[in-house]
Amino acid sequence: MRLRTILLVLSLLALVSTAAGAMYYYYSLRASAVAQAHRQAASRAQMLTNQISAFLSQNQKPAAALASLHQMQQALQNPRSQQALDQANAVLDKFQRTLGVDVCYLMDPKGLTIASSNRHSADAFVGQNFSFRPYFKEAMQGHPAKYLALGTVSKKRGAYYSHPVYAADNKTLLGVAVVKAPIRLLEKNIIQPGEGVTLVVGLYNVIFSTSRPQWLSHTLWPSPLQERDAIARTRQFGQGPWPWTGLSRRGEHLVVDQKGREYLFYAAPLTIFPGWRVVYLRDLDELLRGAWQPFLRTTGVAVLGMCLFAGLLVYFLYHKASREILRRQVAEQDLRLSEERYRGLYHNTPALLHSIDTSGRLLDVSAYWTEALGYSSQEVIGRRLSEFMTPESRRRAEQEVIPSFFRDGSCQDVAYQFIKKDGSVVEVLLSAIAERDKAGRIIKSLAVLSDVTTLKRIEEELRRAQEKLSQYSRDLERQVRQRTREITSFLRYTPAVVYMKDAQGRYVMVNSRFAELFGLGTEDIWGRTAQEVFPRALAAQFQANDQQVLDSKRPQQAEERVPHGSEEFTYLSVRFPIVDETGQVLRLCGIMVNITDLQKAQEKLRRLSGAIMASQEKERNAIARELHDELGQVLTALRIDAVWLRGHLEGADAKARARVENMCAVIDQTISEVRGIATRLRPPALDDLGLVDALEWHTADFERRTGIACVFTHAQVPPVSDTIAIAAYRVAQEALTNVARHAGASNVDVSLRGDDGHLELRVVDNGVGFTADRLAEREGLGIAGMRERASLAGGELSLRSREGGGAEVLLRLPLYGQGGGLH
Amino acid sequence: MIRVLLADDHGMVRAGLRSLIEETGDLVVQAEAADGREAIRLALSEPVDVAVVDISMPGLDGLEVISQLKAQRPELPILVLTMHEEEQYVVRTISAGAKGYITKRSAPEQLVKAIRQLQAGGRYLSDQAAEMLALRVARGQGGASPLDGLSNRELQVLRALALGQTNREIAEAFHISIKTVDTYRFRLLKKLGLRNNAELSRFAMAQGLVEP
Repeated sequence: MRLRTILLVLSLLALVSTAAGAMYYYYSLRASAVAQAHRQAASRAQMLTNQISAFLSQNQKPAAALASLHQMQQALQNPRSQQALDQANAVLDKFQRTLGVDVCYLMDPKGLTIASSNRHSADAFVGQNFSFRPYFKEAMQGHPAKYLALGTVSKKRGAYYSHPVYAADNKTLLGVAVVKAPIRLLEKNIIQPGEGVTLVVGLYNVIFSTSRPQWLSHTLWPSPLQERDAIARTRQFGQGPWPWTGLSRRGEHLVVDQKGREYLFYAAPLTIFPGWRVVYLRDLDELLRGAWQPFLRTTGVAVLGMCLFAGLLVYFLYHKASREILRRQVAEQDLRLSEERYRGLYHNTPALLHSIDTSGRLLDVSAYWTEALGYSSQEVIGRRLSEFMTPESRRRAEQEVIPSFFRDGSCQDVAYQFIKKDGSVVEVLLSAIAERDKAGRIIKSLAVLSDVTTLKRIEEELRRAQEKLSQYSRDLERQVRQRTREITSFLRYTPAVVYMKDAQGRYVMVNSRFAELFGLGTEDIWGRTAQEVFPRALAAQFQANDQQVLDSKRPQQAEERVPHGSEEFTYLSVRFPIVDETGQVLRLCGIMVNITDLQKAQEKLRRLSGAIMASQEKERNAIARELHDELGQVLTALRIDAVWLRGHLEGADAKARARVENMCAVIDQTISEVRGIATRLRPPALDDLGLVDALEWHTADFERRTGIACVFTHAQVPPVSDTIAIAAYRVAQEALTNVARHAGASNVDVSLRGDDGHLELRVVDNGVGFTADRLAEREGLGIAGMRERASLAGGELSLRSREGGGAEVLLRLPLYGQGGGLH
Repeated sequence: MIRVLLADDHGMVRAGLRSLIEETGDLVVQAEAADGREAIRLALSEPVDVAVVDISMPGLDGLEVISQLKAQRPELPILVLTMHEEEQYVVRTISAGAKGYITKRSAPEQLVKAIRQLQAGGRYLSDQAAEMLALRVARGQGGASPLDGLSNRELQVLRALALGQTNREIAEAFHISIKTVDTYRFRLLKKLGLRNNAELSRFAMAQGLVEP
């Protein structure tokens, strides 16, 4: 608890000092803001005064200009002349419009307005007498004047500018010309609401113009009653009443309103209007709010951050302290429990413990003892130990063990049988030591019993398991014998020849077929090698194939020829090694299957396939010839006649001619189709001109049809047989079809070359090449056919993908010999 | 009067051709043969001015007929008239010694004109056939020509490029795509070790493929 208090106090202190620093910072910020505001307010007041003075002086000269115009003189000299008045009014209108002022008007020497720009409006000045106005009085004494007042007729505030009007001699004063400018322009341009309040204050502290409209026509300070009469008498500020703004002074530059709001107060005299002042008020609260906000934005965040940090630190330290305290409490608890456990060890230990006194009565038993034997400690304490034993054990204890123990002081592993409360027997081994008094006499025993009932049961179980195990192994032997019989039967009755050799090539086992084939049984051949029992050529064949398996340690497959009587058989021979855990070959096994008949059948099938293909070619050739030569010729003859007919119908029957025209077209079309069909079946060029020309034509035709650039080159091609020519042509055709369908190539080279008794056809494209998938896919789409043709002509076909894309089909045919002899 | 030997195994076609020839008035079919051997026999025995021969006839191969006639009666001009429209046939028959080649399909329009031209000592070939021939002849000259490694189509494209034709024009002329033409151009430059079309032109002129 004390630690927590200290931490809390520390954190409070940290908080307080942070807050105090922030406060100090805030007050110094505030003092400097106020000082700066004073400076700004003073200069603002002076600036406003200058601006207002300048604004209020601007219409003085236009008034002088107006007064100097002869229309003004004429109107004043001839007040009854309507023409003179009209002209004067026109001039006044023009001035009013040009200057943008409220009104311009002309007064006679008595102060009566005789002409005015507002003569047509409801509050027209014409006929009104303004002789009470100071500006009139001043002008009549020959001085131009300006004046600020609320209009008695218009009820609008204005700045009045008067100027005397002289006669032509420049001496006689005829009247006064006046320009009245509106105050709202001043308010619009200069006295705008913004920072602070601007007031234009007249005599008797009446507010004439202000940026705070609700203070208009109020008095700045409270004014006594007689002063209000004086204000009314000037007729300068209307009818009143002139209520108090509520402001009162608090210092030279400080005022306060009735709500207690403080303002900085700066005033400057408006020299062009004696007794008038410009006052500038600046709201202090607003100002300080301006200073407070940046403080909040910057310092506030920092203070908040520090407070947060302090708080987190306190939380962290508090957390650590609590854990430490908790840890100590747990440690203390553990210690206490351990002591208690120690005290209860005797009673609570999971061992059978007891003590007896010299008379053999039980002094103490452990809780486990009572639990194990099913009694409570009250039932046993004070009774003889031997009472809980079987009669046999009891006899032994009383007559032998206990007397000898109290004589010797110890006993070890005495086997007893105890009777539990429920009557069942527990087998135990008892060991005990004696406790002696100071004189060395034995006073009681401390005995430990171990329950051996479980031990005995486990021994029994072990014995049964051993019996079971020997039963299993007998079964296993039986199974092995059976499996051996099965395998032996397989080996005996399989049609395959089976043998097994050791790593040195000595036969260790052969089956009955082996014996039949070679006339040698296991007994004859065991331990001997092939060289020892077979003719040299056969042995060499076997040994070479054996060696491959021994070297690679992998299964191998080979065809082997074995003479048998006058015949020779072909065997498909599979060999595989049997290796031990270290990879050492232990045995070499061989299984040989006679495939002589299979091979014969395959050969027959190949010949049949060749015959079918040849007959197909022949048939195609016949049909193509028939189409080309017979049907083609008939169509040609027909065309000759049709064209003749067309010539003879020239200029005759137009309908007949159209018919013939159509006929010619149909015949042409049919000829093309017949030629197309015939060529597809078998290009005549192949038979008429030979392989080179046929391929030249075919590649050009391929290029035309597919748009894939197809270049055919040939070199040293000798005359070849029909079989070779057809095989090469058909393979090229199929390869190009594959290129067009699957390769995505942009060009393909076909080359034909004769050399060294072979004809080589190469079709190379720049497409995607062969992948395993695509090859499998293609195998169904003509590659099988190409291979078949190649093998029928005695040649071979190979396919490969080329480095950098593209595929190559290579056909290699023998020019002479198998299936390829010249006709 | 121009006397013509007409050799074609098909009677109906012969009849049609005969009517075409004799309709002119100044051409006459002097003899007709239905197979190659008969054609040779008649050409040697009959006073004919022009032999019109089909190359697909039973008995003797058409090309063989041309060779034998060329050997035994070299002055007799032979006009090949055939169903075959493949360029390879043109080259082979003209190389064998025929003076003219027309397809049966174009016989009504061209046969008489061709016979007259051959009788007058000239040749008669379609434009494309003539070009194929020119290429084959160009390649056939001399021993090791740099043209030997080029295919027919490559030669054709080389010639067309040398003549200043655009890829588009060439593509249209050979019924192949512009892309294919470009592939050819690239291969030609690579095979011949040239850098641009101007060099191709100079090379073609040097090889006599085009007139300077």
